[in-house]
Amino acid sequence: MGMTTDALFFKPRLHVIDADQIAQIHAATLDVLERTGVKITHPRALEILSGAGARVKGERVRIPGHLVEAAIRQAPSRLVLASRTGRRCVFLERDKSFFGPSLDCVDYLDPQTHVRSRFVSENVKTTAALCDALPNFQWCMTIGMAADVPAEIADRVIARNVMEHCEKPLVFCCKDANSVRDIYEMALLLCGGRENFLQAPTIVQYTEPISPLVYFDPAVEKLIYCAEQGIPLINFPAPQCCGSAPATLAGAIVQASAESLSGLVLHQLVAPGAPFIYGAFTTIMDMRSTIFSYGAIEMSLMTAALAQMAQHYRLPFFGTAGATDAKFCDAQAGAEAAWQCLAAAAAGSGLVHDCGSWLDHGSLASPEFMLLVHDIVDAVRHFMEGVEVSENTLALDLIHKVGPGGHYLQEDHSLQNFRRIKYSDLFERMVLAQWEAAGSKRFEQRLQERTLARMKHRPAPLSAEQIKELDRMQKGWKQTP
Amino acid sequence: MAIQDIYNAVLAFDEGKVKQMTQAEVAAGTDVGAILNQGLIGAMDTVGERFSAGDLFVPEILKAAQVMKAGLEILKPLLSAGQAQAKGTVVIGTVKGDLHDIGKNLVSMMIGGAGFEVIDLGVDVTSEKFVQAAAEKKADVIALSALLTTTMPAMQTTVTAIKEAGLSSRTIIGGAPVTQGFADEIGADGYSPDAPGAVKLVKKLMG
Repeated sequence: MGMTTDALFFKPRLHVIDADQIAQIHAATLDVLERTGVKITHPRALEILSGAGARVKGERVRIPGHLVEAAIRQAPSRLVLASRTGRRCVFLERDKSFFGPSLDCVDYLDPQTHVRSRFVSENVKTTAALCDALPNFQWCMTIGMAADVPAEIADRVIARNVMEHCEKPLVFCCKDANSVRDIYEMALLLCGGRENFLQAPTIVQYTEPISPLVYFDPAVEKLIYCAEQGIPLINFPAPQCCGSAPATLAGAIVQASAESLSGLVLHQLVAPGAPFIYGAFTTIMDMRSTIFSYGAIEMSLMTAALAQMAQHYRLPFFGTAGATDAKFCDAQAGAEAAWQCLAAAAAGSGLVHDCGSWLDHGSLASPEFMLLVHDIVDAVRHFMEGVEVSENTLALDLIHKVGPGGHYLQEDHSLQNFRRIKYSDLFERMVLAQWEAAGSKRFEQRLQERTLARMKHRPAPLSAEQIKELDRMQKGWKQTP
Repeated sequence: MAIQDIYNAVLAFDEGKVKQMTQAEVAAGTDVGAILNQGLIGAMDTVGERFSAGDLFVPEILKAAQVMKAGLEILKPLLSAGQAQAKGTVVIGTVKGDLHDIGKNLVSMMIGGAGFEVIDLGVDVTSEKFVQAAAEKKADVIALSALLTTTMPAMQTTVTAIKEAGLSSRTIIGGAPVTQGFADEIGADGYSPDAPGAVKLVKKLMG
C-alpha cells in the first residue's frame, strides 16, 4: 500500500465479453432501436417520445441513437437504498453485488412437511421475516403471491405484509400505477417522509416490457409515475432464446438491452436524473419442455454480459442468480444456484435477485432453498474478498521463524487470522466418527433444522400508530379490476 | 418408394424437396390419400413419437409441421371433401389484460400442425370477442391463455360468457400460474401444462 510495499487488493473479476464486443453490442442495440423500434400504445408516452425526436408511426416508436446515449448519460450512475429504519445498506455502484430473494411465486414448499401448496399471505409474512433474518440478503422482494387475498388488492396487501415483516429495502411488482402509489405512501410513512426517501429510497418498483419489444400500457404508466416521484425503477424484460428472442446469445442480449434502454429513454424524458435500474432476465426457452429456464448456464452467461454492459453504461443493474429449475431443494438446485451466485458476484451484478426462492422455473418458493442459497452467497462473499497481499498476509517473518519442519498451530498470527476463513454450519467437514456422534445428519436434515430455527426470527414490530395508519390506508385501496 | 422419400423429406425438414416430390407423385398418378396418410401425416406421427422420446425438440416439430403443410397445400385441391376437412376448429387467444403470448403462439402452432383449423385472436382478447369468433367460426374448442395471476379472473369471466352465450364449444386453459384445480373451479373443460399436452387435450375433447 504505497512506495515501499507491494500491498495490493484485487477483486476477483469475471469478464465474459471484451471491450470490442461491448462496443459491438452497443452499436447493435442502437441499430435495433433505430431500425426496428418498440411497440408502445400509451398516448402520453407516444407524445413525449415523439416530441423528443423519436420517429413515431402508429404504435411503432423508432428511437435515434443519440436519444438513447443521452438518456444513458443523464441517468444516475449510482443508487443507495436504505432499510425502512434508515440504515443505508445497498450501494448500487460500479461492480458491487447485493443479493436478495425473488418475486411473486405462486407455490410454497413447506420446510416442516415438504408439502407443496399455493402461496398464501401467511407465507408472505414468514418468508419476509426469514429474509430479514439472513444477513447476506441485504434487500427483500415480494416473494410470493397471496392466493387467499382478493386479487384486486393482493399486490398492496402483500407489499404491506412484507414491509411489516422485513426492514430491508423492498423491490416489488404490482399491477398498475395506482398500486405503486398506494405502496409508495406506505413506504413514506415507514421511512419518515419524502426527504428521507429521496436520500436513500426504501422501495424499488419492478416493471417489464414484454419481449420482443412491446410495452403494455399499465407498465408504461408505472414507469412514468415512478420517474415523476423519484421511485427507483427496474425496467426488466425477460426474453427467452428461441421463443421471444433469437436462439443465439448475442442476439438475445442485444434485444434485451434494447428493451430495457427504450424504457430508460422515456423515463429520462419524463424526469431527467430519476433513478433507473437497467437489466434483463435473459434465458433460454427449454425446447424439450418449453419452460422458461431459471437454471440454464446460458442464463448466467448472458446476465454476466449484460452486467458488463451496465458497468460500461454506468447504470445500476438488476442481476439474477440463486434460482433453479429443480422441484426440490436437491443436488440440482444446489449446483445451479452455486454457479449462478459465483458468476453474478464475479461479474458484478448490482441488485442480484432470485436467491433461493425460485424453484421449479419461477413458480415455487422454499425457505430451505433460501437458507441454502444464503450460505452459498456467504461462500461467494468470502471468495470475492480475493487474496489480500500485504506484509501481514505474506507473513514472511513468520515463515522464516517457523522454518522447515515446524508448525503454525500455536502462533499468534494463526489465532489472529484463522477466523477469516469461512466456516459453515450447513456444509459439514467432520470426521466420520464425529459426524456419527452428532446424529449422522444428512445435508437435508441439517438444512431443515437450521431453516426452522431461523424462521423464528421477527423484526421489531411497527408502532401502534404506524399500524393504525397502514390500516387506514388499506381501507382506502381501490379495488380497481 | 417415392412416398417413403416424402416421409423422409419431412423428417429432414426439407420443404423444397417435399414440395417437389409431392408434385412429382401427383403427376405420376399416385393415390393422393396414400401420399397424405403414409407420406405427410405418417412423418408427423413419427415426429411426435421422437419428441416424446426426447430425440426431437420443439423447433424441429414446428419446422416439420411447416414442411408438412407445404406438401398438404399441393394435395388440398385434389382431396375429397372428407379428406380435405380440418379435424376441427380451435379459437385461441390470451385473455383480457394479458399481452404475454409466447405460450399461446406455441400452442397455436402445434394445434395447427396437428391438422386443426386455428383462429388466433392474438392478445388482450375480451370475452365478447372470444364468444363472437367462436360463434362465427363454429369453434369446437376455445383455448384461453394467461401468464399473470392478475389476469386469471379474466379466464373465469370468459368461460362464463361462453357458457351464457349457449355455445357448444369446449373451453381449455393454460399458462404458467394456471392449474387443473383452477380449471375445475372456473368450469373450464380442460387444462394442459404445456403445448404438446394441449394438442392431446384438443384431440381428446373432439372425441
